Amino acid sequence: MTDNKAVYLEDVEIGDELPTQARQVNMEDVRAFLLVWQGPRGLEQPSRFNSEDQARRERLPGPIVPGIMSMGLLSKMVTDWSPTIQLKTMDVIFRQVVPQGTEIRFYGVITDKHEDREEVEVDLYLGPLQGQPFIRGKAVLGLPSRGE
Amino acid sequence: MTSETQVEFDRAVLGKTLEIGPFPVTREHILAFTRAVGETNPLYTDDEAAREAGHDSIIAPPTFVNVFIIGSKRPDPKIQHGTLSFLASQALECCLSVKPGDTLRLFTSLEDVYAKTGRAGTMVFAVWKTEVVNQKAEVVAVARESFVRR
Repeated sequence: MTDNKAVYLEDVEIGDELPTQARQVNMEDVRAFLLVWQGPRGLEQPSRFNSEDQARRERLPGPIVPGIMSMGLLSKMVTDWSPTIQLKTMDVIFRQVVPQGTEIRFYGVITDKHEDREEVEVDLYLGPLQGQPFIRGKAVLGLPSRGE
Repeated sequence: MTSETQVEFDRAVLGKTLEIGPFPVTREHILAFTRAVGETNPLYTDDEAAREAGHDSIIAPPTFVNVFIIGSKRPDPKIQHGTLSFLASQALECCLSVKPGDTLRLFTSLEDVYAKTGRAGTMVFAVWKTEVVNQKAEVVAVARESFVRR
C-alpha cells in the first residue's frame, strides 16, 4: 500500500510475518490479466483460464488462475510490505492449481536475516483460507539498514 | 518414493540457446500489468515517486518479465508423455529494473527433461532457463521454470 511505512532491517526479526493479504481472483480479473499477457488471443482462444468447458476438458474442477498471475500477486504482497523492499529472487512451487472465485490468502514469514548483505529471506504462501497452500515459495529481499 | 523413467523427446532441442524477441516495453503495458495484479506501490504507478526513489520514471514490477517469458515461442521438444502441460515451478532472479522504453530479448534453452513416478503416477518435467537482456546487453532477469506434463 502506498501509505505503508518504510521498514528497515533493524525493524525485523526471524519469525516476523509479512502483512497477510486476501482476495478472490475472478474470471474478470483473469481476463484482464490474459489481455496483458497474451493480447486479444488470450481472450479469443478457449483455455483453462477463460473457459469453464475447456477447464473441464482438462479434468480441472473449473477455470484456474494463471501461474504467472499468482506470482504477480505474491510479488505484490511482498513489495506492498514497504517501499524499501527490493525483491531479489523468488522461487515458487505450484503444488495445486489455484481455482478462480474462491477467497485466497497470501502470507509470508521471515526465515533468515543477513545484516552484512542487508537481506532477509522469507517463506511465501498462497492458499485457501483453510488447508494446505496451493503455492509455496521462498524469496530473498533487499532491506536497507537505517545506518544509525 | 519416486523412481527414474526414460522419456522420449526430441533431444536436438536440449541445451540449444534460442533468441526470442525483441519485445519493446511500453509504459501502457507496465501500467496494464500493475492494474491486472492490483499493484499500488508508487514505484510502479507514479513517475514522481519513482524519480524520488532514484529512477527516471516508473519501473515494472519484478514479475512483469514473465509476460514475455511464459508462453513465448520456444521450440517444441515433442515430449512423448501426457497431453497437458502445467507450470510446476519458477525461480526468478531479478537483476535490474525494467522500465518504459527498454527493449528486451530472451535467450532461452531447454536444460533438462526427466520423469518422476510417484503415488500420482508418472509425470514428466521440462526445465527451461531464460536470460532476459535489455538493449544495453545487461541481464535484467534470469528465470528457470519447470513445466509438468501429465
